[in-house]
Amino acid sequence: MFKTILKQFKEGVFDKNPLLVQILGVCASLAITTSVSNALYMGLAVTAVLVCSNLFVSLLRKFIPQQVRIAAYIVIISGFVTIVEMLMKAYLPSAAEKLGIFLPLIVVNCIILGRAEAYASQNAPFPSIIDGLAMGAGFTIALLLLGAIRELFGAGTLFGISIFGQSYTPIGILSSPPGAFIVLGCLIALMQYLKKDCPSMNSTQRRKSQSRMSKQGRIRHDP
Amino acid sequence: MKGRLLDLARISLPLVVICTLMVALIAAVNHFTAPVINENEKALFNQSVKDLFGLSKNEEPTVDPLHLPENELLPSGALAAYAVKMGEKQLGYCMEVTGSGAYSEDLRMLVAIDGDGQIIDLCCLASSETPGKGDKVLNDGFYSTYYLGRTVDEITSADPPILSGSTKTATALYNAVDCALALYQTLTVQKGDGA
Repeated sequence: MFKTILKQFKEGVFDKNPLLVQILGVCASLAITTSVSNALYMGLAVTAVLVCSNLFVSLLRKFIPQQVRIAAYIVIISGFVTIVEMLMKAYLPSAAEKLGIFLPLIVVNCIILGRAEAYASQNAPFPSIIDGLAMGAGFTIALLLLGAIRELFGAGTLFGISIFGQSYTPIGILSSPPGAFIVLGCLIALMQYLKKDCPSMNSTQRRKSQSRMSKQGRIRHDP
Repeated sequence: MKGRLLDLARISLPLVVICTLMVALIAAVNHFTAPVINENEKALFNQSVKDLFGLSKNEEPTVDPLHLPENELLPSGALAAYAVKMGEKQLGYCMEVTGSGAYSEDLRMLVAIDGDGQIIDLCCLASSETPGKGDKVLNDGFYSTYYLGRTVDEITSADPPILSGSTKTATALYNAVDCALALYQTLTVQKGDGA
């Protein structure tokens, strides 16, 4: 049991990290990660919606007809996003103000719909909750990394506290959208390097992959 | 025909049940959060009024709502107007307005105006503009340059100040200020001797 939970968390944080491996939910991630606190609030909000929607979808999985399952998932997800938004406005008003339009836009975050369709609709409630927690943790960690790098080097602060002192000249581009793309690209590359995807691919797999791509006309082999 | 209707019911009934469940959940959460959100909004309003008139935490101004005209004279976007006093001293007027034309929802602004019709300060109560992009316009550095200390004539005769990349938010801010000054003028005309 504990091993299964650990495996799910490893998948969520590392092997199938929603942002750094599956490249899902990029839009909000790039926009919101100008500071670590924003990243943390966004990560927690997405995790809460993920856990609740996974639980609900899992509980109702035998009741929801195949033909309308996506519509049903969207209703469930948007309901929980509305609830999270109301709770944040009531008890964390400054965080809700900072997240602005990106808080209700969690509805269209592909991670949540993706997990509902790929996992929660086929599994029991408890593993679905763990999956939501694991994926949420992976997303939050990725956002925190992105936010920390951008805030630290783009503004010289962390959680609003000055780290490098007054003499530090911030790297302005990191606070802007192009900087977010650059940092995200570097983090994705680092993740791929850590996973050692390319070196671990054996020669047969590599040949198959190249053959498939050449059939699609994407690359040409020199004779 | 009957079979098709049954199929339709079999598909749509679960959706109806799910929608009902979600509505019930949202209603339950709203029941608990709505009073807290209202309290937060009141506290934000009171703090904003204090900030606009440069009052300290311990100072409690009297904020009296003014009666708005119910005719075509009322500028569109005007929500409320208040007379702000500190004891017997009249500090000025506070106009609660919306600024249309923003990138997302309309901006909800408070504009403080003194007895001479000059803008003392302004602040945003609610906006859904993109963090770090559209909301740059709402930072003190931008609006204080263009609006503070200006009167209605100076504002309406000038072009809307625009910030590159935040054009829509800047236009909405201009509309909000314009609306506040128009409301001030309407109330002045209505009373004859000041708003």
